[in-house]
Amino acid sequence: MTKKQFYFILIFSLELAIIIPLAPEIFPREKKSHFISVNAQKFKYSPSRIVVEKGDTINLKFSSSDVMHGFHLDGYPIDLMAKKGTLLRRTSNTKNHSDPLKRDWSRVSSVKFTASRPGKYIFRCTKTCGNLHPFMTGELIVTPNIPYYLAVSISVWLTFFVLLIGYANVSPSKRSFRINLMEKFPVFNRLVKLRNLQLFFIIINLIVFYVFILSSLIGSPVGNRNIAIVFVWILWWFLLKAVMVPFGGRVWCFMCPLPAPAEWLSRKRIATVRFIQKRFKRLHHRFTGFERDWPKKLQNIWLQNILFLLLISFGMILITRPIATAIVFLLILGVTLVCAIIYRQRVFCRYLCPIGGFLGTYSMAAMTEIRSIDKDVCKKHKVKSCLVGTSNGWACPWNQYVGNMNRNTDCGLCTECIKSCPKDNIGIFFRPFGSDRIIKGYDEVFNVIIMLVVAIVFSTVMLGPWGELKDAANVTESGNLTHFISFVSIVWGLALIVFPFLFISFCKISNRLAKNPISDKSHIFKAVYMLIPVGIFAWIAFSLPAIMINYGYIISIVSDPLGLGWDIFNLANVHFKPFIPEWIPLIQGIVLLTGLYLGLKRGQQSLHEVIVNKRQLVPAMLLPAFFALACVNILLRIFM
Amino acid sequence: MFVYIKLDIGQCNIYKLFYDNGMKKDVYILLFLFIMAVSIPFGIRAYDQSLKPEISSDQTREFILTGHAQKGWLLEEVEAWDMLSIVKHRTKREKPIIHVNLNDNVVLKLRSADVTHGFTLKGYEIFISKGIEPGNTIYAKFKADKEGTFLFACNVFCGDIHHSMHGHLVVEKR
Repeated sequence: MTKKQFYFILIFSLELAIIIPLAPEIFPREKKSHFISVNAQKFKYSPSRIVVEKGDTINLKFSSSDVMHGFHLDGYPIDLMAKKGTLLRRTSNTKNHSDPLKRDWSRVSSVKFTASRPGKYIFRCTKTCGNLHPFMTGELIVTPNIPYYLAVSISVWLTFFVLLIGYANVSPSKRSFRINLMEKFPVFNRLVKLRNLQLFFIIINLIVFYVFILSSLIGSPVGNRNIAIVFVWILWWFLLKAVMVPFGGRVWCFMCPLPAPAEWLSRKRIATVRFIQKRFKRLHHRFTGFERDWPKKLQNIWLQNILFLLLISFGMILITRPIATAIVFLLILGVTLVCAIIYRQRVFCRYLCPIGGFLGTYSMAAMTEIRSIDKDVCKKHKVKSCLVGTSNGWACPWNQYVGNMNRNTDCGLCTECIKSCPKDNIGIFFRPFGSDRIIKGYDEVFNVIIMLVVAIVFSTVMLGPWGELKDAANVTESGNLTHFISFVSIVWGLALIVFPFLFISFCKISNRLAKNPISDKSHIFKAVYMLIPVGIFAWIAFSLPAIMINYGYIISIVSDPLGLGWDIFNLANVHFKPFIPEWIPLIQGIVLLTGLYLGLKRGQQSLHEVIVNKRQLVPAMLLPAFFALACVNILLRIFM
Repeated sequence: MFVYIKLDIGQCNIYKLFYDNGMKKDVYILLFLFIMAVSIPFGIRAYDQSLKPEISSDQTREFILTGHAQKGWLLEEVEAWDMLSIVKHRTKREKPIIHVNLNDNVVLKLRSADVTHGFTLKGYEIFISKGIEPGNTIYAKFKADKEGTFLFACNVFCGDIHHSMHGHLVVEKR
C-alpha cells in the first residue's frame, strides 16, 4: 500500500465514521408532548430512564413516596424538591423573604420543558436522603443520541485505523522523549535529596488520616456529610486515578501514611538512617522483629487481586459509611504492624495492599520513572548501595536493584536510592505514557482484567440508573442477602472467569491467525498491555463525574469537617450545583476514546517488539483489539 | 524538662531496648505527633462547645434529640456503628419523654442520623421549617414557663414511621 492510498482510506473512512451517525438528523420528526410522572423512593427513581425525541415537550410531575427527595436535571434549569404531597421548584425570587425555604422555592403542580438538545442528561437527588444519596440518579435520553452514535462509530474507526497503521508501511513517527527531571530542575534535585522529604509528606498525611478516623467515629454517620468519605472516596480517589497514577505511578506509595508507623517500628528510626557496617553485599541495617523473607510462593500479586475483589464486593458500603472506611484503614494499619514484626521492609505494600496490585500494573504506563542514568556505572559498582543501603540512605524498602530495574511495578518512588547512591547515578525521568511494556506473569494479566471489570461494574452500579443493583450492593440497609450474594458472585465470576477466559481465548485464536509467531503465553503477556491504558482511562472516566458533581460536598465539608453543624468558612450550606453536568457524558466519551487509542497503540508497539513481520502483526492483535473495543463500548453504553 | 526525660532514658537499662542515641531527632517527631493526637480531639470538642447558644442562668437543661428514620426520636447521639447494623429495628419503640422543671431554660440540640427531619413543638410555638439535615445541628432554645405535657414531632416526611415520630416534653413544678 502506498502512502497516498493509505491517507485516502484514512480520510474517507473518517468521513464515513462521522457522517453515518449524523444521518438520523436528516429525517423530519413529529413533535410530540409527553406527560411523565416520576416517583422517587430511597435511591431510585421510577421510571429511572425516560426516552424522548428531540423537540418533544415534556410535562413533568415529580413526587416522593418516602423521604424528601430532590430532582436536578443536568443542562436544564430544573431543580425540584418533593416533600410528601407537594412539589417545590427552585426559583430566583427577588422577594426578600426571611424564610429561606419560601425565598428560594415556590410551589408548582408540574414542570414543562422542551427537550432541545440530543444526548443523555442525568437527573439526581439534591436532598440528603440516606447513605446512597450521592448515587441516586436517573436518566433522560433525548434521541437521536448523536454523541453516543458518534463515539461508537469513532471507536470502531480508531480500531480500524490503528490496525491499518500496522498493515501499511507507514511507520509511526518515533519521537520519544525522556527528560531527567533532576538534571533539568536543580531545585527539584535539591528537594529530592533532602533526607526527610518523604517524612514531611507522611506526617502531614498521618495527621489528616487521624482526623479522618476521628471524624468517622464522632462525626456524622451520613457519608456525604463526613470528611472521611468525601475526602477519601471523592477527592483522593479522583486524584489517585486521574493524576497520580497516569503521571506519577506509585507516587501515592511515597506519601501513604498507612505503612509509616510500621516502617518506623521496623527501622527503629524516623528521621535518620540506622547504618550498621557489615561485610560486603549485605543489608547494612538491622530491623526490629524476626526479619523473615516473604514466602516464595506468594511473591506475586494474587493475594492483592483477591483482597481487592473482596474490598470491592463491599465497595458500596465502604464508600458510603464512614465507620466502614475507618475499620478498613485501621485493619490495614494493624496488618502493616504485624508484617513489620514478622517480615522486613515493605512486604505489605508489595504483596498484600489491596490497591497496591493495580498501582503496580498501572504504574507501568506512568509518565515518571526512577532509573539509573548509566547502566555501566551500576554494573561496575560492586557494592550495590541502592540494594544494601548506606549511611545516607536506607536500602530499597521495595527490594529493588536500580541497576537492572526495567519497569515501575515494584518501585515505590521513595527516593531512598537517590540518597544512598554514592555515584549520583540515579535520576527521575519524565517519559511518554505507557513506556514499560513488560508483564511477567498471569497474576498481572488477571490484575489488569480485574481492574477493567471492576471499572465496568462500578460504573454500572454507581453511575447507572438501576436502583435494584444499588440495593443489592447496599446489603446492610436493604438486608437482601440473596441479592447481595448473587451480585458478588457475578462480579467475581466476571472478573476471574468470564473476561479472562474471553481474553485468553481471543489471544490464542489471534495467535493461530498470525500463524504462531510466538508462544501463546508471551502473546497473552504482550497483548494484555492494551488493557492497561484502556483501564486507566476507564477509571478516569468513572471518577470524573464524582468530582464534577460532588465538588460541592468538598467545599461544604471543609467548612464543616465532622458534620457537627459547624460553619467555619460560611460555606457549609452551599446549594448543590454540579459543574457543567450536561457535558459530562461527552467528556467521558472523549476520555474513553483516548484510552482506547493509547491502549491499541501501546498494545501494537508491545506486540511489535516480538512480532517483527507486519503481515503477522495485524492478525495477532485483531481479536485482542476487538476485546478492548468491546470493553470501551460497554462503558460508552453506560456513560453516554 | 525535655533534658530530664532524655537523661532518664539514657541511664535506664530497660529503655535501651527501645532507645539509642540515634533517635534524638525522632523523639521530637514522636512528641509532636503525640501532642497533635491529643490536641485535635480536645480542640474539636472545645470548638463544638463554643457554638452552643449562651445562657447565663444556671437553671439550664440541655438535651440532645437525634432523629432516626427507623427508631424515631432518640435522646442521644447516634453511634457511627449504627450505619453497619444489618438487623431490622423493632417496630415498637419507646417514645422519649423529656422532664424539665418550671422556669428552666431548655436547649434542644437537634440532629439527624440519616435523612432530613424536622421539628415541631406546638405548645411553645417552635417550628423548624427548613428541616434538620444530616450533618447539621440546630439549637432550639426556650424558657419552660408553661406547665403541662407537650407533644413534639417531626414535620418533614421521613419514612415509614414518620407519623408516630413523637415525643413528650413534661414541664412540672418543683
